[in-house]
Amino acid sequence: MLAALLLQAGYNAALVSIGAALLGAAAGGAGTFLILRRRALMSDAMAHATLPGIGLAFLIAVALGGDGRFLPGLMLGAAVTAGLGLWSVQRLSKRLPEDAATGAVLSSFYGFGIVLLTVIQGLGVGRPAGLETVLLGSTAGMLRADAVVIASGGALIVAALWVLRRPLAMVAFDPMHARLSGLNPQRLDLILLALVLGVVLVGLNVTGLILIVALIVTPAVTARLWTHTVTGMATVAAGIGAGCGYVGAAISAAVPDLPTGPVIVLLATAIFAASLLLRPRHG
Amino acid sequence: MAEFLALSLPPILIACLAALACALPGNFLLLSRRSMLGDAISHVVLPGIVCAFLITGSASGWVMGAGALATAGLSALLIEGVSRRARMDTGAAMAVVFTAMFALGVVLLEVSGTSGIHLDVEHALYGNLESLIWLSATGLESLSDPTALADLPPELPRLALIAFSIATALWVGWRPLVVTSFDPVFARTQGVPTHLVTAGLTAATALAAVAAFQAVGSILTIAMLICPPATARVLTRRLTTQVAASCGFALSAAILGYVLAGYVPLWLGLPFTVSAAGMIATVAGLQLALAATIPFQAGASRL
Amino acid sequence: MSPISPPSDGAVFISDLSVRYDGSTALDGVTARIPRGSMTAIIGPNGAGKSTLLKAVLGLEPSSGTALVFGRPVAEGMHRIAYVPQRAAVDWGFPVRVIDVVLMGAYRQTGLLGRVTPELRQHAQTCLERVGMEAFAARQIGALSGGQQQRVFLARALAQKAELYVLDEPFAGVDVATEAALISVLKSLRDEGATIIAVHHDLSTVAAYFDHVLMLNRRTVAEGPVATTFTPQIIGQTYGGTMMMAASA
Repeated sequence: MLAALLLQAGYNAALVSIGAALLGAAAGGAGTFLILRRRALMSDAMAHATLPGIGLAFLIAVALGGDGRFLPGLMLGAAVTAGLGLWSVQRLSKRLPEDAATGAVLSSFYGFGIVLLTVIQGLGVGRPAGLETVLLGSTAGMLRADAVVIASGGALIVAALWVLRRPLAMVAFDPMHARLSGLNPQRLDLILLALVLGVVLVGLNVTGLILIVALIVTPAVTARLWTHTVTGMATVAAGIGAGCGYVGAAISAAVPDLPTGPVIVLLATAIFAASLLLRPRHG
Repeated sequence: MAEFLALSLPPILIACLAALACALPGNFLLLSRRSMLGDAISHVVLPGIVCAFLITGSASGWVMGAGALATAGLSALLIEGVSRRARMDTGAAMAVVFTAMFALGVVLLEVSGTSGIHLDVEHALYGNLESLIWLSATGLESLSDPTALADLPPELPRLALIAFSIATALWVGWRPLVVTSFDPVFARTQGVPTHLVTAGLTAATALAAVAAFQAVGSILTIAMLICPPATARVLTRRLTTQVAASCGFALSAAILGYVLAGYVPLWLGLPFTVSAAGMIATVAGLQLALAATIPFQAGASRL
Repeated sequence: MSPISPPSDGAVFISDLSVRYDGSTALDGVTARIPRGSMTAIIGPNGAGKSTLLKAVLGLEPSSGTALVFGRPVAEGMHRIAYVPQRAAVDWGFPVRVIDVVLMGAYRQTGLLGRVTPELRQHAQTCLERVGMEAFAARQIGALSGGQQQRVFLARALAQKAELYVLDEPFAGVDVATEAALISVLKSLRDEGATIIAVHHDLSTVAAYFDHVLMLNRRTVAEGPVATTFTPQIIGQTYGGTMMMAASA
């Protein structure tokens, strides 16, 4: 395990750890703005809503003659249904409390995803073994190409967040003032949700869709305990996320029985609990 | 007929009872804007069950249920404590707490090895409705045969008892529940013990979630806690109508979903069935989607 | 009433402005022309639509009719307006320091991706000094009292370098010292050529604080210089109207 932590467990494992670290940074940064906008659980709905997309993409890929495990296709499918889920939450929120809309979308999309998974099992087509890893994540045996996708996706999201940090902070703090200052809060909200969706998609293979919400939320709320500024919070959250992603991926690579997602989540929770007990008094 | 009694009637009844047990408290979670509490609680049932098994070594439904109830209560306290101490909204606090406990459950399950415990993560997520069968059923006469009835899946009487208890508790506590969900500050000035009422609602939710979880898995539990009440809410602004309608939607989703999952693939000539829990959740979501497309009469769209 | 044409020298020109929520009418054909460089109070009873009027003029509330700012549609003049809402509806636990809030006012000058230059930071600091809050620059916004928070939001408006300041009940719930500080800042802004419009509640201070009034009760009751318009008779019309409406409702 020490070898894995020190990047000496082979080129692939090192790449996976770096990818997980970048994912963690992106999740912490995006989570900061999502928390400040009070939409933490929106990421959970999005993550669960990816499952039917993954199932559909798998079935389509099989129908086209592949073995189904075509990663870009699966991610595209996941993005489509997650976007549909998000749209449904926003539509339903006009007539229901937002948390009820979130829960309704989360559970019914996920339920449909499970129906599709049992269809795939029943058909016995393609190579569905391992499709369940999207539930809880697994970095063991990850391909180099997957690791590159994760690392570059994470880096892109971090860069976008850095560029947009001030308008995003303004919209989160006072949307009306932001609007009067010539910003478009709806569009910025949409951009933020798109970035969170990016984190969810990239994170499917690392933490799995059930626990990605923790990588988005927990480092951000931890960071909030330590700093007074949005940029500070995003930076600390990205740091915590990166550390947890890196160490978690390394541990999971060394102990293949341990799914990556839960390990990363428990690391992040430990840091949160310690921060809650040790945090400085706020002025 | 015997086949229906043995293979289909018990799962349908169990799904219906689980749906009712969840939909009833779900109405009040919706009113007090705590719908996602059901989501959080059904995720923390897993570590409760695993811990109860690891500590007692017993795989009895009651022991594991007690463990699950304990973690559900613990998580409700943790959510409140975390959101107060870290001054964050409950949504974020929930996300922190339930993911941590769920992750703990998964890791415990993997580390301790699953031998002897009839549970894995997939089972926890989508339940195993189809396996709850009544092999002693030989025909209609089995319904009046005590020895055959004793062989019913234990989940059935357990859920019946819990659904009945929850319905009774709501009946008894109706007025304080309504006033607390609508305006807790006013309720307190009127001498309503709002903390007790809130805790009671949390307990009822936990009880429903734990009982339903063991039979139908966490995803259906969440769907039933949220979707039928939400569907009813979209269609009516009268509380009694809403509760009654939510029960109707819960039952129709359970029955329709089971039929779609268990029979329709066979009618289509496919050699397999699909997940009943997943299909019921899908139907519950579709009901809500359909209801939401119906425009409501003017004035009611504003809360 | 003779038809009015949009003047080119007015700060705000409102003609036949109405706001309706399904069924009820919040504003009914409001008309006003607020002169440039004036300090105008909007006065009226509860439910007269004062806040709604501000929001409608700023385009934050759907309305029918005309509202021009400096002779142009408000969307074109937005960069010349600073708005201080009624006790800003923000999350007071938000991780921003006082200076960050003020810097948000300078957003127009930096643009979407612009850097916060030392000059900008200095300007924000000057705005804080103007409202007497320079010592609190590094405090978290939630750690301030209500009056101090109100001063910070005025500093944010100052940082916008606007020509028209629109304030919704700036003195509601603030301490006496803050009220005095706010009014002296507003008066000095007016002396520098800016136009101030504020919803105001305290009839006893209207004459001391303002030079122009708009008496509102769902429609314009009267509008003009304080000296000629803020008379007992017109005040009676403005407030008495509600009582009659309440009696007939």
